[in-house]
Amino acid sequence: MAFPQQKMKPKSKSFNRPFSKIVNKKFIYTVISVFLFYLFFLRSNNDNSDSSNYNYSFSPNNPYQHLPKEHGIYNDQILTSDPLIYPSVQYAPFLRELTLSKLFQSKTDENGNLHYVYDQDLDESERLFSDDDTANGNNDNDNNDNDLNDLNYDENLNGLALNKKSKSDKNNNHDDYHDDLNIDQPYDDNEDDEIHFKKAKKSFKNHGKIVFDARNNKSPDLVIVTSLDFEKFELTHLTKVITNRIDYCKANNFGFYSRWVQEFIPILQKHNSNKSWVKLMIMREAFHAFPNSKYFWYLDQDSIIMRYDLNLINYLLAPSILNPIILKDQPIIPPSGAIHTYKNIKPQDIRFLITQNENSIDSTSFILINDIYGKAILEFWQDDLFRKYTNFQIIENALTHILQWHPVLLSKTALLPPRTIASLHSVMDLPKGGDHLHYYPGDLVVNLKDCEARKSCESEFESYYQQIDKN
Amino acid sequence: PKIVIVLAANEGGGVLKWKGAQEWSVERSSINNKKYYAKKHGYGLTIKDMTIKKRYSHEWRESWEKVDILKQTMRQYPRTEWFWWLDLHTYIMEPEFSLEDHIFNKINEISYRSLNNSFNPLNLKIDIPYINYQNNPIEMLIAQDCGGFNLGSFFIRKSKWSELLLDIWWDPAFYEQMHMIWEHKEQDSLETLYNTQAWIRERVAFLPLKSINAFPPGACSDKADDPQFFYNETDRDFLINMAGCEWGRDCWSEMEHYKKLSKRLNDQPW
Repeated sequence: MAFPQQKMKPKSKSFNRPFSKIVNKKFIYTVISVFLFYLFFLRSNNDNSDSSNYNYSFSPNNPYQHLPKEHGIYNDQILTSDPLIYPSVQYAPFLRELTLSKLFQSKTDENGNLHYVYDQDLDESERLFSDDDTANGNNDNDNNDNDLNDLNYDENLNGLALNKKSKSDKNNNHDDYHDDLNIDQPYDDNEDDEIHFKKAKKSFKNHGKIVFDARNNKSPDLVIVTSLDFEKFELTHLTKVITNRIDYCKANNFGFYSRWVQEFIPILQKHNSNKSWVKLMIMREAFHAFPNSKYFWYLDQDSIIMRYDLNLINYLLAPSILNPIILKDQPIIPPSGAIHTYKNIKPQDIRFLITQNENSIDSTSFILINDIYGKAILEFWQDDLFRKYTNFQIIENALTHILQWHPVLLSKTALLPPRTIASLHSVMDLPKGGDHLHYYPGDLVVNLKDCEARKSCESEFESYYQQIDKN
Repeated sequence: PKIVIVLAANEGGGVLKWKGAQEWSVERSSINNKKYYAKKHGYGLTIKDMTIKKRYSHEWRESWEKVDILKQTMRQYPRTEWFWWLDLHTYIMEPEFSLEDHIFNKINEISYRSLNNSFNPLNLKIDIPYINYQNNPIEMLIAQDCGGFNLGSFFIRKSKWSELLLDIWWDPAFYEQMHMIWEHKEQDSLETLYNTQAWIRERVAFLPLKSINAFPPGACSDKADDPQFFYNETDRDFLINMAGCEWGRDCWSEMEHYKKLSKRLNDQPW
């Protein structure tokens, strides 16, 4: 009774002894290691099995989807090896006479309003005319192999862009080109106007499909982009604008991309946008037409290039030249806007160059680089929601808004002094060497801004045009 | 780390109403689940505070926190390639699956880029000009639920493209015109941008909802008989998103249910 545990102890001892003979340290270690090995093995098996056998039974479509090829506003494309792409201006008088109602088909929308539409957006049943106009429009031809001959429709009229690409001679013969544009060339009297109208319409509908064949030709480093308005200008004037651009491009091995403003009417009508939005749309089309070209210079039709000898890339865009020129820490809205361009912007980071005048940013003349930033800027700027916004009828307002609210886009933008690419026309006397804003002989460009209000676009253009040293 | 999980937590932050014991519990479960998963596969994990802030109030930037948080997280992890955003009420049901095996190593087989002949609940335009899928990599992976894009669980890659997207995603002029129509805020905004801007669309690819964002029976209730949205334990769906449980359902009991289910499915017999 005094030591009950002593009685217990021997019992436990006797119990333990036989057990401890079996369960010694070695045994325990081997059991544990086998167990761990088993665990490890089984676990890794599990890992491999399930994820690779995952059953995507509800995947909605086949894997390795057939992905459509890129296209512009038109679904079809016509390739050319000529880097100078512009509409056949000798059709301008015919197009003007035809008017938009004959150039586009119309459709009534939900509100009962009549809208112009592209032929490609109509169903078979909705097409009112049989279309010899849309030569390759409504069939399933392979996009890139359109038969050029189909559109090579007229030797007599020397249809410009289209015939030129069929010429095997790629030497950009200056004389050929001027012949083409020689409007004194008599029309064949045997052909009626009927045929001219038909050809004008066909050209109008198909010109926009032309893209530069970048895979098989060396792309120009820079492309000038200009939109032309046949409702605003006559043939003689339009010819001058085109000649001015082409002469500059030929002197510097640049490309040229031009479209009729009217081609974009169906898009503008969506939100009752004014014609100035076309410059963004045509720039985006230009990116698509020249996929391997780096710089794109939009220059309004109311501007003239005065110096054929100044290669824009060497004169302005090379980083070492650009760096001291761009306006750093400059208010977006002069003179005292709160948001400024960045102080330490590096020229290699710049993707967008534009000028300002006294009161605001000016989109008459601007430069974009064809990469993801350039595309984002263009597509964002022309988004439906900006076009619809009441304050942004003036596209510069949309741009200043964008630059103030989106720092990444601002960081890729540089403001240029106006006399680099947009010297303003003026009749005032200027001090020797000029001021910071107005055209002074020797400048690259004259910007005839607001000449429409002065009703003197043609005469002003002509007077500057005569001053160009064309050698 | 190459992949970082961005987990939204502290929804509301107790500003408009107290966080009760159940809400704390749901949050703990969700966080522990992601912690375990990240540790197991070597991913990063960052838990972001979604306290209601004045600058995200109605009429201003309601619900655009995701965009700002992603911007900040990408700066925080400059060498990380992919970011996986997860809403709080999600649970990784199959932590054995690594993201590489489950998604990235077979991304071309399981994702789709064009909406042509594909699931398109919003009837977005199938073809717009300038889309070039061939020369552009996939930089965002999202899933569509019965009503459109679902940003409860999605992947975004750090790149020039995503930097631009995060920069333009919120715009005051867009917001002013659309915020009454955009019920789901930044989600609907992305749908609009996807519909009109080719440069955005060409780098977005879709995954089936079940693969990264399966729903419980209570969500998408009007499509209850369409199995493509819903979690199914025989299919061993990867992740469940108890979307909308805080409106009319019981988040805590759903979380507990799926926690137990996951444990049961992944328990080893020994």
